[in-house]
Amino acid sequence: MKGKMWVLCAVGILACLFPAIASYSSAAEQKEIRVGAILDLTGMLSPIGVDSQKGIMLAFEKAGYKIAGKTVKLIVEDGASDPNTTMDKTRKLVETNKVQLIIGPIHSGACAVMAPYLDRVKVPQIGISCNNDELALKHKWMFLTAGLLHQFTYPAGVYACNKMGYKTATTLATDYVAGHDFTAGFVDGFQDKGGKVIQQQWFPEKTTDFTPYVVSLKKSDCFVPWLAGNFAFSGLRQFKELGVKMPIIEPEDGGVTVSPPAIKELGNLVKDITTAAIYAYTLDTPGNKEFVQAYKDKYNVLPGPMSGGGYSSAQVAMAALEKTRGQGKPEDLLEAITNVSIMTVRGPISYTKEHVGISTTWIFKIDENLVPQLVGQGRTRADKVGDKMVVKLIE
Amino acid sequence: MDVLAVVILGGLSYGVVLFLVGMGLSLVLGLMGIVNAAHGVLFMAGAYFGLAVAKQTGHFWLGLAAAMAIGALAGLVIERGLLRRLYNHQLEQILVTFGFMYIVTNLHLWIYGPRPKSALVPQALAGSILIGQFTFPVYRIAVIFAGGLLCLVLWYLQEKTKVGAIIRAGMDDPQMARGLGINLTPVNVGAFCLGAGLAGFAGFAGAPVLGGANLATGTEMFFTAIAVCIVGGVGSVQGALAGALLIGVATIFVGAYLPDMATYVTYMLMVIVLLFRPAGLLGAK
Repeated sequence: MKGKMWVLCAVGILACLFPAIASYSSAAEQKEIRVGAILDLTGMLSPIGVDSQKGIMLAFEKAGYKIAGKTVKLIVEDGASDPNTTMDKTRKLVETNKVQLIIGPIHSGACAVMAPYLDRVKVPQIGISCNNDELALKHKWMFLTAGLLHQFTYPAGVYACNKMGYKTATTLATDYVAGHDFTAGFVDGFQDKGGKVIQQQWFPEKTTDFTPYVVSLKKSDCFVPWLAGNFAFSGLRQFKELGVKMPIIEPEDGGVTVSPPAIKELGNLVKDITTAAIYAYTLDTPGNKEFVQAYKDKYNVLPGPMSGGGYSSAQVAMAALEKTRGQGKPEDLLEAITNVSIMTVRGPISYTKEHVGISTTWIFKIDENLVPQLVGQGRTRADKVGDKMVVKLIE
Repeated sequence: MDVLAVVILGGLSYGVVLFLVGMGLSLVLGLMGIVNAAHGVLFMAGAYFGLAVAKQTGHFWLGLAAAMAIGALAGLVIERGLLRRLYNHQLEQILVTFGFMYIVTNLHLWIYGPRPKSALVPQALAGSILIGQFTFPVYRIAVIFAGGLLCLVLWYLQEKTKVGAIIRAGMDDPQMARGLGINLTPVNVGAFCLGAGLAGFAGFAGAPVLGGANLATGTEMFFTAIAVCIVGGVGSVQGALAGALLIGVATIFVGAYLPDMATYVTYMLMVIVLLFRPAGLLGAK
């Protein structure tokens, strides 16, 4: 009887304490804002994935890991440049870590796989780079910060025709979504201004030898290759070795051509190349000098395009979370991100109602000192017209 | 005509790199029946380590020697450390070497970082020759000749030396070879290290042909080496050469003239050979 009394008392005391414990936990939780980041830290996109991680962490460090007086817990996972791995990590961040939003990844295939799930669980994703039309047309919870793939490269096509005076072009790109869409944007811009694309070639994803594509190149005013990551290292070398003389203008730099660590490896292979990028360390945007210095102090290297991309996307996340104070319904956060309009190190960032970034394309030429010099820019937006996304040059 | 010449030379130089990496896997598979899934990362390790040594010392040839040495050393670690306990356990061999592949890849990520490394070419071979409207690097022509020479040396070793005879005996009938008093263990270890060293050598020597060293080559080169073994046949220099050159030249040829088929060339060759000559073009019938 005595023993039973003790047990009953213990249970009673615990029952009284439980609401206090529960409220303490939720209070603790409310004091903390959880932000997830899925980045391509290994695999094909690892060089630019690691850069984006550095940029994101620097942004949160600058804010002292605090938003609206609350502590920010940043949970970074490796998507491994692989859609399946990314999906597993997305589930973990949402279901185990209970993040309010996710930054990244860069891999467009991985973003496509995450999108339906994030729509279902109502967790917004803030992209770092460009992405394809389907995400904008079908998925409400994805934010394409740098715009659509073909939207981003449209100004490069316009620039090649208008400013560089090229009338014909031959293209070469990786045979998957990003390669096709990046090239399509350039082609649209080029042809809209009266240029003619006389040849388009596509190489398989695992290509290491570009000999067959170089020997098949048709002579034109400019050569327009899109080479991301590892391909840039083999491609640029082989173009030179095999005697490609046409001036090179890249529709997008693939995270390589304006990246200082990559330039260090490639050396003169990038000299005189004109390319479009979301960011370079030479930009004269508000706050960029301070960002470049802070990045260099922390990591002992100058920031690449995805470093600036990651930093800017983190700035977007922080601005939206500041607005909601890290609480409220998911729809409140969605609206806050949609209404973000801030100046970042890569220029102004805002979104259309389809959550597509109103994007600045910066155009650089790598000079003889291997420094990316800003030579042009274009600002575009993409809006839904019927069942398509239509791109418009606004500046 | 100049297009054809460049395509053939490009295919041959690519094929020679495939021969060097495929030969090692073919030797180990033929002699010991082991599918070394870590073979591709030996190629990658040779490329990275060789480039690091060459850039540090300023000597290409030192880098080449270092690449071969690191491949052979890694081979010794794999064979003596992991595989000697797993003879006749093929599934376990594949699993263990697969795991080793991931470990080595991540080790390289940790040591060298995620970015690819650009290749080095010795000054004497740094130029290009003019072929019609194109230029073709002298280095890739040197690779073709060097590969041919190495092929002759390996063939001589295989066909005309006592060591080669022992290796062939071990491949054909290991029980009989042991019965005749031949200790196959040092032969197996030696062959494994030779194969691994060849992979490391191929990684560094092939880096200028493939555009540098990157972390993806570990897995990519393993599957390509498997294709070389399937197409050419396992366990012989001639088989590895035939398989490698066929895949190399076909890949470049198809890429130039039938680009839509470029993704499938290697797999199509494998299917055709498996259908009509399952042992490989020059494998035992």
